[in-house]
Amino acid sequence: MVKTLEDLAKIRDKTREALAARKGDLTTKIVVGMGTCGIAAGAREVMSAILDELGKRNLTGIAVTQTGCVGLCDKEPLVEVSKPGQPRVTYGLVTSERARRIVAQHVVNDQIVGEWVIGTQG
Amino acid sequence: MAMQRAHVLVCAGAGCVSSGCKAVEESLVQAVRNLDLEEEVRIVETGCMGPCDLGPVIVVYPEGVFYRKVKPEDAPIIAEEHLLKGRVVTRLLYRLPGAEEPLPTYGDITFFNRQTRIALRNTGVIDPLSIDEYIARDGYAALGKVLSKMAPADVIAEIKKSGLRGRGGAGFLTGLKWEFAAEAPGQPKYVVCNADEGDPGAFMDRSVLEGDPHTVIEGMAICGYAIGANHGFVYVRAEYPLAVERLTHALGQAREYGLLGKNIMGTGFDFELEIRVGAGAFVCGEETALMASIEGRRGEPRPRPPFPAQAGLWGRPTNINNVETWANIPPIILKGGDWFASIGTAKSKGTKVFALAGKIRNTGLVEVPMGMSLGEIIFDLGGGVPDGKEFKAAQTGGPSGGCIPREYLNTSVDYDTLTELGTIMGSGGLIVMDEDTCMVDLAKFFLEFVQDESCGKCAPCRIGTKRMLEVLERITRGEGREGDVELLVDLGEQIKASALCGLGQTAPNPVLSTIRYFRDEYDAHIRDKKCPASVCASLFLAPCRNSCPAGIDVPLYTDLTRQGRFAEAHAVIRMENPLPMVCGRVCTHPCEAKCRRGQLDDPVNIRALKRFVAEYPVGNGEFALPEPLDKKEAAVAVVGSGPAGLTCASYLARAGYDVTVFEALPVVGGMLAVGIPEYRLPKKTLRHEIQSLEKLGVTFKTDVRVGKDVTLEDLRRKHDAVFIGVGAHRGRKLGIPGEETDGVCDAVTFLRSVNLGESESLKGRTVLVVGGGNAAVDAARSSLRLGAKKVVMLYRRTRAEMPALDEEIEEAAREGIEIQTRVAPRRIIVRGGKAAGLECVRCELGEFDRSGRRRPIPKDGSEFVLEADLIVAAVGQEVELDGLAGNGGLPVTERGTLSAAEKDCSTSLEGVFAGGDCVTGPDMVITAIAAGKRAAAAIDSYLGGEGLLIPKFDVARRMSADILDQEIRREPVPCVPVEKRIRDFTEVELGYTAAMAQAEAARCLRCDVKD
Amino acid sequence: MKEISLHIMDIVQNSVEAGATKVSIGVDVDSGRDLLTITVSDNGRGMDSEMTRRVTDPFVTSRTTRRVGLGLSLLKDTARQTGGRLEVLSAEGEGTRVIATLGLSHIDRPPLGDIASTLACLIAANKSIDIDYHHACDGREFSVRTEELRSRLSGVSLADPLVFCFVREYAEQGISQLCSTTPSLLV
Repeated sequence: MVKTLEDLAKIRDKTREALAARKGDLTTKIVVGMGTCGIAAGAREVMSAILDELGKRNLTGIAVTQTGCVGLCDKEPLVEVSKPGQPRVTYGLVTSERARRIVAQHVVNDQIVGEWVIGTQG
Repeated sequence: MAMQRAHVLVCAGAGCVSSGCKAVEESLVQAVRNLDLEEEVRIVETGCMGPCDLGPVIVVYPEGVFYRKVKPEDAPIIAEEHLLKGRVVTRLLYRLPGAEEPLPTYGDITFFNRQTRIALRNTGVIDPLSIDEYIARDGYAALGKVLSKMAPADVIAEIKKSGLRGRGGAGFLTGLKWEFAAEAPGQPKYVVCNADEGDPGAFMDRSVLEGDPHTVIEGMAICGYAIGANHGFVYVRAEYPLAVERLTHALGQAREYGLLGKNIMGTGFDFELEIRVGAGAFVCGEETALMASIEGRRGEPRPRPPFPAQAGLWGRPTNINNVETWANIPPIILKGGDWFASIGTAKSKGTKVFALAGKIRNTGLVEVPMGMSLGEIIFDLGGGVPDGKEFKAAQTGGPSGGCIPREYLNTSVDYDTLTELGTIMGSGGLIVMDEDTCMVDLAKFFLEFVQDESCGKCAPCRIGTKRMLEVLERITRGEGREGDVELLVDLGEQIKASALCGLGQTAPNPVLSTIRYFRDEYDAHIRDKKCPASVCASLFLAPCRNSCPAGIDVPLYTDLTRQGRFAEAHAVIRMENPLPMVCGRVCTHPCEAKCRRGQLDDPVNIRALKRFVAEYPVGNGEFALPEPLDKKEAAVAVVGSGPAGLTCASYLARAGYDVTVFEALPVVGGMLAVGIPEYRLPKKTLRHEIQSLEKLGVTFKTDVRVGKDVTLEDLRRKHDAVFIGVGAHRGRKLGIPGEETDGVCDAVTFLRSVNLGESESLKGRTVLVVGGGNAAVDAARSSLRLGAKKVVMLYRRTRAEMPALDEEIEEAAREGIEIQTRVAPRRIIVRGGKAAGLECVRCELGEFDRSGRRRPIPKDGSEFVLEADLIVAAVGQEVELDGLAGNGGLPVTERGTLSAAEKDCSTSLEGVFAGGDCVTGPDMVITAIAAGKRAAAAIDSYLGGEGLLIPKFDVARRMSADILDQEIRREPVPCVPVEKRIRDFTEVELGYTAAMAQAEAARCLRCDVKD
Repeated sequence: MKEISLHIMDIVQNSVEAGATKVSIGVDVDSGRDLLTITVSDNGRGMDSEMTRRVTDPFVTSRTTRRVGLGLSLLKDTARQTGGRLEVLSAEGEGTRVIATLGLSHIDRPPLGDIASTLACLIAANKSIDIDYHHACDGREFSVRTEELRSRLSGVSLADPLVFCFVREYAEQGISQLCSTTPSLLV
């Protein structure tokens, strides 16, 4: 599918609609470790997979940001998910497939994927 | 201090300096600079790392990658690939001989990882020009500890507790020596370091001085404190300029840091050291001569007592120790005497540095705990003997020591065990010798050295060693006399008892030791005027001829071949060998192993040349055979038509005797006919050779077994002399359960059936051959040609140790035969009354046996089964003695062979002679031929002749062409390609053409031309 | 890093840490001179001359939590392995420019890789920074500028997943067309 800047305008319109339908608060946050260690371990692919999955499921109101190296370099890529009112969960050794599952299970259905958790807070 | 991610250690021991490490280092520095890596990579020059033969060597840390034989042009590649990009340069890594896989790091290589480096702890690791690096590795911490926390008596107690013995050679308890000096009255006292290291082949001390000079300084300072001395001397031989340079530099640095001189570390202790350089006298390694030299007098020893500890330099108490002893002092102080005493054996504590030299793969320095076996040092760390040669003996202790032969490889090396064997530990020089070393020549070499270095003060050494040398020179010149050996022993013992100093007292050791273990070599030189190792040039013409059991004039016929004078070459061969066509195909060519050309490129292919010359008459006008002499009255019976019998018959027939050969089998030729397969020796060729004998008038009677169809007594009555050459035609058994089953047989029986055309097809079958000799390979390759779909050879030792000819093993592998090594048979698997397989067990190689090979030890629990239809046991052959031995017959040796004299094949029965495999056990064809010749001469002599069947003639030996001294590899012999040849028994080797033969013969170096 | 685009992702993190509000990324392919030049410039807080000199040492970092900063040293290594070099220009208060020159055809040059994903991720994760991406290939050019994207989106966040997918496909297509005549250059 050929993409032009005109298509952007279409996205704008579509999203605005979705936004308008919601009294929305962008409080679910997904943070992907993007230090040198994370990048080398494949964090870019993880981030792409997360954004792609969110796009496919048409999920809005979720902030996906990057952070630097937190020091657990051998567990990178790290992904931290914090949903309002729920404990903050850090997943380790995330791959693009696992990232998609985390979106499906945790972000959408509030089910923490226990086997990949390396830490929780709160 | 800046951190650098990579440290590249460049070995700058004297060995690597000679190999050009400086140029390598400069190139590396430049390459690192070009790549802008100077801040990340540090290049350090260290002392000797040990494997001197592999130099120049480099180690890259932190990985520990070890590069060997590095050239200046390799440096930019190492810099770019390894240092910049992290890719190891595999081309420069160390590999075990014959292995593909490299051993990349320092820790992977046995030479390094079996060592325990105490005296050499810093050598090869630090920059010897950096006192900071020495200090970083706990340098001078021992001195500090001693000066601040220990009383002099405590220091001595610690050294005594360690059990350290002097490493210079005598092995006197160091702690005790220090105590004597400490207790002796008199001032000032002195500390001396003996760095004269005169033993040829020893360079341990040199490496310590060049690689870690501060350890000597520290050790001596500690001793000064302990005994109450403030001044010391390091006596270094003049031939070590690099050591002097580095030591001088180290002394300067130590003084600068206040670790030497007045008030060391502020403790009030003064200690100063000075260097004295020797002037080339071996005797100055002896402590009293050394002290005389320091005092400015001629280096001559004096009687002791008084010992140096009581009265040394200028009559004052002096403690002298060797460099390696000093190097052990700081670690003992830091880690404790108990720690040191926990290493080594009961009476020899700690480690010893050995300098491995001579016929050994890994020449260099190793430091190992006392008690390690000699075999482990030589074969595991040293890498064994190169070029497929066999280990003969190891010399320890240099000119003061003796040799240790194969039988004692399991000896755990320490001061006392070596003394028991008749040698000494000495300073640590370990010279390895192989089959090409003449032990008489070796003894002469050491005695020459000692004679040169004798100071002359005492008569036993000055005159005694000279007389001993004269005797040895006579022996090696071929003028040895009966009684010479006894004379040497007598003289030697007297000199040992009466010489003034250690030089004289130990000078006879090499001679006495070689006489003790290699008496047969002395006897060969004296009685037979022969040097078996082909070293003593006056005793032989050329090494090839000298090592041929039949004494064939190899250089002569080789040169005639080169010139195209094939008929004359043929005549030369036929004089000494009546079966040249056979030998040209199957001889195991001991001559080629000695061929000097082999040191340049490849040995001359003497066997192929012989074959070409032997065959040349066929189709090129048969050459006339020598006419038999006038007929003689006497009749001789030859029992057995193998090579020994055929040869004996040939010469006797030529001499005019009436010869009848009795053969038990239906065919003539012995093992030549029923042992060696058709594809190696066609029956047609053998027939041709035997026809020559028939033309000489020899009568052959086949299907007659002496001892059954006719008795030995009958023969003795009807003939004037009898020669017995029945060979060894009974295959030895495996000695495992189930071997009587159908489907299991021995190689002799198997090959006989193949050669007599009685064997059945093995199409589609699996055959296992147990054994590693030529018979095993013959059985395996024959099985393949009988259609076997899978043939496996099983040998219990390693491939390198398989006794079969290398080229046979290679051809077998090329033909698709699988060779499994370190496997031993356990039992036959029987199914339905037939053999269905073999249960095998894997073996580990254990201690050395008397033959110098590692004993295979079956590893229980590693059993496995190989399915098979036929199992052939090729594990040796025995002599079938029935009817010939016992009950008034011939006496038998304990090995089960006939007893006959080697020199003339005579037995205890008058007129009966025996030779070949039936006397020696399985041996080479050419050895049997040689025995046949000797027997024929002896029979002629016995029957009233002159015993001279081969006329001696003189030939002027001259070069007929220039020597080709550039590298030219051996002319390959054309063979039938593998796919074609294994379908049947056609002969594999096609032989040289005339042009090839002449080209190959041209490579001969003409060792026989002396002027 | 296995791809040069991952290096770029890494270096841009430095700009983000330095508080930049504007980051320029340049990829220039010059087959005539056999060079691949990567430029990352920012208007962050910059470094003094001492820091600039030492910054490629892996043990030098502005982080206080750890003492290792590998991004620039890894890029420097990659550049040097291909016979190229790394230049860092910076001044306090004036921002930083990192220029890596690599041998285009050198056997040890890693591929450019998935630069489109890199760009899309960077934009999605740093919606408040202006990112300019400029890709040139022997004179032909393609660029993506967040300023322009924002104007077209009027209000929709750059962090929206749909924007992410768009940017990725748009960049991939644009760059491949750029180098379509000489496809190996894309790699």
